[in-house]
Amino acid sequence: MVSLLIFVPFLAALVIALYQDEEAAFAKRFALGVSAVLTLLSLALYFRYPGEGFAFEEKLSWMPFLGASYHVALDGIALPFVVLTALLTVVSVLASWRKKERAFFALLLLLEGALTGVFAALDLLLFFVFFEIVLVPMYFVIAVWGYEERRYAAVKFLLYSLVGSVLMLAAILGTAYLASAELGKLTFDYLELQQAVPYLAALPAAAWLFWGFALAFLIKLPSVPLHTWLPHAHTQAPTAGSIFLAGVLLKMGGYGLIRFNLGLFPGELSRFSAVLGVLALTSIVYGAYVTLAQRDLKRLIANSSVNHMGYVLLGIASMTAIGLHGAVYQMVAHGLITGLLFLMVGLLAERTHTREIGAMRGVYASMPVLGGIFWLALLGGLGLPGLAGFLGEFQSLWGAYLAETTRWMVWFALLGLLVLVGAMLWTVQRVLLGEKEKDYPDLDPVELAAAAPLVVLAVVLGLVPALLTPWIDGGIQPLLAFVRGLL
Amino acid sequence: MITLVVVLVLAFGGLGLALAAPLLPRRSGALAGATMALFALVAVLSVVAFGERAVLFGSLEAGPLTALAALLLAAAGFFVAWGNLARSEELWGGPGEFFAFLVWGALGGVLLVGARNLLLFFLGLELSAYATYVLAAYDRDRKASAEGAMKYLVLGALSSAILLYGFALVYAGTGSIEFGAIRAAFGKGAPMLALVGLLLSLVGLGFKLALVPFHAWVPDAYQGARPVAAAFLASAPKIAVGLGLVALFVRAFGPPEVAGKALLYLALLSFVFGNLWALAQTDLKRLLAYSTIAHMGYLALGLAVGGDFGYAAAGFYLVAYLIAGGAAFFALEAAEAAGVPSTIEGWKGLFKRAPGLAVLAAVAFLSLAGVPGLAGFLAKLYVFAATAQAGLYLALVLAVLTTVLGYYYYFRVLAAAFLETPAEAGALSVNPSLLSLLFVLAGLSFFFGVWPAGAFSGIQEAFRVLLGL
Repeated sequence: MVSLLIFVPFLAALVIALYQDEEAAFAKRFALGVSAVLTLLSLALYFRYPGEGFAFEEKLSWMPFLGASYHVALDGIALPFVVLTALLTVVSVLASWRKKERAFFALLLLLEGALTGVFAALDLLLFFVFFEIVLVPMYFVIAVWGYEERRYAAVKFLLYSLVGSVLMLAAILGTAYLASAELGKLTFDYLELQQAVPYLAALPAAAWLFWGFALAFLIKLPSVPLHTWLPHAHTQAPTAGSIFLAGVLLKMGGYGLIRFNLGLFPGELSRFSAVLGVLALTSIVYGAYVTLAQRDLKRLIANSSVNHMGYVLLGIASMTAIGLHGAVYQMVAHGLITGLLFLMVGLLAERTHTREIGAMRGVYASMPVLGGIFWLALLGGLGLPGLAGFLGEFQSLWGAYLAETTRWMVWFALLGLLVLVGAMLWTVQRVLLGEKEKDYPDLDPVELAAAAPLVVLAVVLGLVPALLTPWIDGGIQPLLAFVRGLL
Repeated sequence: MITLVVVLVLAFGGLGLALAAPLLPRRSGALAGATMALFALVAVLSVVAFGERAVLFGSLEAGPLTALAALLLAAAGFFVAWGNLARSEELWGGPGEFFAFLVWGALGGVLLVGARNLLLFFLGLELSAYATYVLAAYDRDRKASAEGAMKYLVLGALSSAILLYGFALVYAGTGSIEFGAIRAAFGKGAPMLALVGLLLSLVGLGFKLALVPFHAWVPDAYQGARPVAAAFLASAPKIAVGLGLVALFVRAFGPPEVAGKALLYLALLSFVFGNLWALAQTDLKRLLAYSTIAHMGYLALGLAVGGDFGYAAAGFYLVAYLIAGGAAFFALEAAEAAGVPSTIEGWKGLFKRAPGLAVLAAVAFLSLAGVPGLAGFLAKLYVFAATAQAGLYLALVLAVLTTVLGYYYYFRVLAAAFLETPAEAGALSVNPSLLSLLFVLAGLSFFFGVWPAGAFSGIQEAFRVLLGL
């Protein structure tokens, strides 16, 4: 089942690439159909999850001479992201309904498959393979269909990501070879490597390995000071690309930190939790101030992501159940809300032909539906209670408060929260409010269909956390029990 | 005995092709077809010869490593002969002995890898080198071709002389040219003279492998040659010398610690500087030439680390490079045959003019860059894994970081081909036989990138036998 989620998109992309289709009329319908079916399939898996540990496991021999296998499974941490990936593919296809190039839809499907693979892989080499494959379609999506500075943004995205991931490859190899002395065999299997965690922790190289993994994930997340690729990539990417970047690509960072840095190097994580906490705090406060200063609407939302991902890192650095729980919740909420924000900005910019905040006024008056949804999304972005973002931020901060190393940081983080609230409300005032300047067509049914699932989920997950909390618990609790047994 | 048949087929097949060439009409693809058939026969025979364990006439080893060399060289020759179908009549400045030299180049490589004494090793090396000198100069009406080939010839001769001098010192130190006797002498504590000889032969082989600082001939030779000929230059001698170096060191010099360390430094220099120089290139053949230097650096890293896994990693690297590097040159050939110059400038907008060619070329470049899912990634992964296994973490970090440079310059080519608008509009007509060759090579890149286990085990088995494991 999990393999279907990974490989059906690849096959679908191949079909689209081979089918001669001038206006992409077939391509977009086919991509929509495939991604909708896969969303339903991923939801079926979501609701059939037994509640704890890994499920839906599949293991095949791949490179036996190296101890690497095709091993995939999903737990409560990965499942929400797998569903989110499939859902955001549907949204992205709908958001790109006017595109006439079938290659675009093929690339979106490639992204979907590779991202699902990232979250499902339980073999470190397999994880790396998918982690790297993601870069290629994303590079082309930004570089071909982006805005004016797309080439620069795409190359910057590629190089930043690569530096992180090649060092992670070195760390993966180092981990496996060092652990082989303890395990008696070379293996890249996550579950088998976990048995060598106490041995790895005692090695002098443990800190190097930890940072080899952490660097890749901190770049992806991104955390200040490794975030400078993000404003360019997010701003220059086409709407669908921004939705994927914010919705899922950043999540690979937080997911990786929990899965590998916490799962394989818990001792190092607690040793460096103050460092990570300070990085998180800087991201929260600095990210908020930078958001406040933006003139470009898309760049504003991109920078608010730096702030939002700061809470994720803070929750992880706290190493408490609530903090980790909040980190995952925040990532899901951010995927929905920021995805929605980028969708709205994209649709708005298509109409006004500018992303300049100073050039927009009275959007709500001229387009009540678009303006209303945008309004909701901005409130979600500032963490309004009742929307999904609040629960994530609140739990991350609460978890950080519970841990001694990160307690003092919470007070400063609140400052960042406050500034971001100001930035978002100011945006509402400048863009949405005021007299209408010009009549624009409001959302058409396709665009509304793209926004609807995100709006519904942002509200539902804000009001009914029971639809997500037990799943996260099923992933986090066994991991924390394992970690506590060692520390 | 099948190994002997392989040698005889190559020797007399080449002779037959050379004699038949002037008799055939210019435009016929018969010579290329015959060459492909010959190489296909050799490939099949070498698969059968894989199980042999014998020494022929006391000087030629019939074993899995020789068979592996024959198989890879036959594949290289097969692809180059196929690639030559695009412009065969135009290329025949001479009477068509081009194909005979492909066959003899492969023969030299087989003899070199299978050699049991220094003399046969040297003869094999020279035979393979002479064939490539001719191929580099074959496009003789172009000044660049003559210049590149001349540089290649002079530096090649110099490196052969250094190698021969090294062999002479080894002979002076150990009193024998037989690998077994040399190894016995080294086992008893090698005389200084022989050690100097060993290092000199490493220099000579470094020239042939294009390792920094012995790389100066590579960019000019590749730029001057036709891309099809460059494809052979970039693959066949590398296969022969890469495998031959291991065979020489293991069979004659025993566990070569000094040489291993020297090779490690050459490897580091090659992938660091090769990648850095490639960044500045705008001519695609020069770009591929510098990137070849970098690739040979990764290959040499595997060789320097050694052990059956390190050697097998290097062997797999040769396979991946043969496929993707060859495909890159064939893509240049296809573009040149359609009138597109081999520069980044010229490749701008290639996707709009020839989408099939651009996509297949992209697969080759992505494999060279090391994108997962393609053979080039696994080749690098195995070399890196062998480096980690040996505990050389500093070299490992340096190696992984330099791959980022590789991504940068390969993506520059892709960006030109896919993102730019072409200077002239109009679809290009790409030669169908080259396009099908590129399709086959892309398929192979993908196949070995996803299902490497069979090929890797075979290669590892060959080196296990060599090491006596």
